[in-house]
Amino acid sequence: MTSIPIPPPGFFQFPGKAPDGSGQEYFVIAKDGIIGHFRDARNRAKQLEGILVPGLLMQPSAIWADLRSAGKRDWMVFTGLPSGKFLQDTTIEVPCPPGQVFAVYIQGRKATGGQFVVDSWEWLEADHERSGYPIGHTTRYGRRLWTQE
Amino acid sequence: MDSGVTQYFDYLKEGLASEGAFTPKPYYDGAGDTLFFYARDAQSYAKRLNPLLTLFLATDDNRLVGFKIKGVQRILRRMERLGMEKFVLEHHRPEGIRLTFFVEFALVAPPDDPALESFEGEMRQFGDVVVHSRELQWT
Repeated sequence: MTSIPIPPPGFFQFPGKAPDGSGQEYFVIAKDGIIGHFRDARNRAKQLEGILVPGLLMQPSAIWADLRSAGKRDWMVFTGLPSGKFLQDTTIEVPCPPGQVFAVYIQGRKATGGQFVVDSWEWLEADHERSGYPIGHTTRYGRRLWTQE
Repeated sequence: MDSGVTQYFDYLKEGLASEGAFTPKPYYDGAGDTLFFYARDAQSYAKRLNPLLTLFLATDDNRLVGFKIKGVQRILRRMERLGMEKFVLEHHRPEGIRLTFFVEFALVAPPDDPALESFEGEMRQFGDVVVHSRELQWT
């Protein structure tokens, strides 16, 4: 993507790695989507995790497609190890939990400006033999689009 | 830093700074057809229980923090076949369905790991939580 697209109203937009690893693409997340829910519910843990999303999209360990989950064949997931995670507030950064990787799910349908849409995120158990890969990646996902290896 | 990232971080920081207690309430993600429920505000990781149900377990002690149920519209169609009036709460406004029904439908598939079976009972303690029909995009 050469020019910066206009984010749809009510969305935040930030850059990240193109799913094929070739360069940069833009990603959006709806203000009234899951992040709005976490804010409304005062779920601090999930909001703090949300801070990790832009960094992970920029520097994933691997990008996967064809999620083997009902209705998510055309989704993607970026997995990797953020530099750290936050405790209590945005000023205390601690190392990532050992044995886990962070995952950001991308919806199958793009936004009006061609941006990829962030759906949700979570920590997953790591594959002990492949750093930055989640456990069960061979069965959870159909294809690996890119890897930093 | 990219201005979009700055706006996003500012939004998160504003949310984190806001007063008020954590409220355990369900959230339906229409794009993913997934119902999320966090019962506690605690750091967690996801662990698949079966193809429809994923647990969120506490990072520090593996206690149940919440769960997500996939294939919600399919569950709703099963409810319709059985008679939706059996599931929709009477005299409840806004109209809703107890979380327990979604949990029980999702638990039809056996756990991938039998050791996770103990969490099935724990999930039932949240059975009376109401999922609003409007939020489920079902009418």
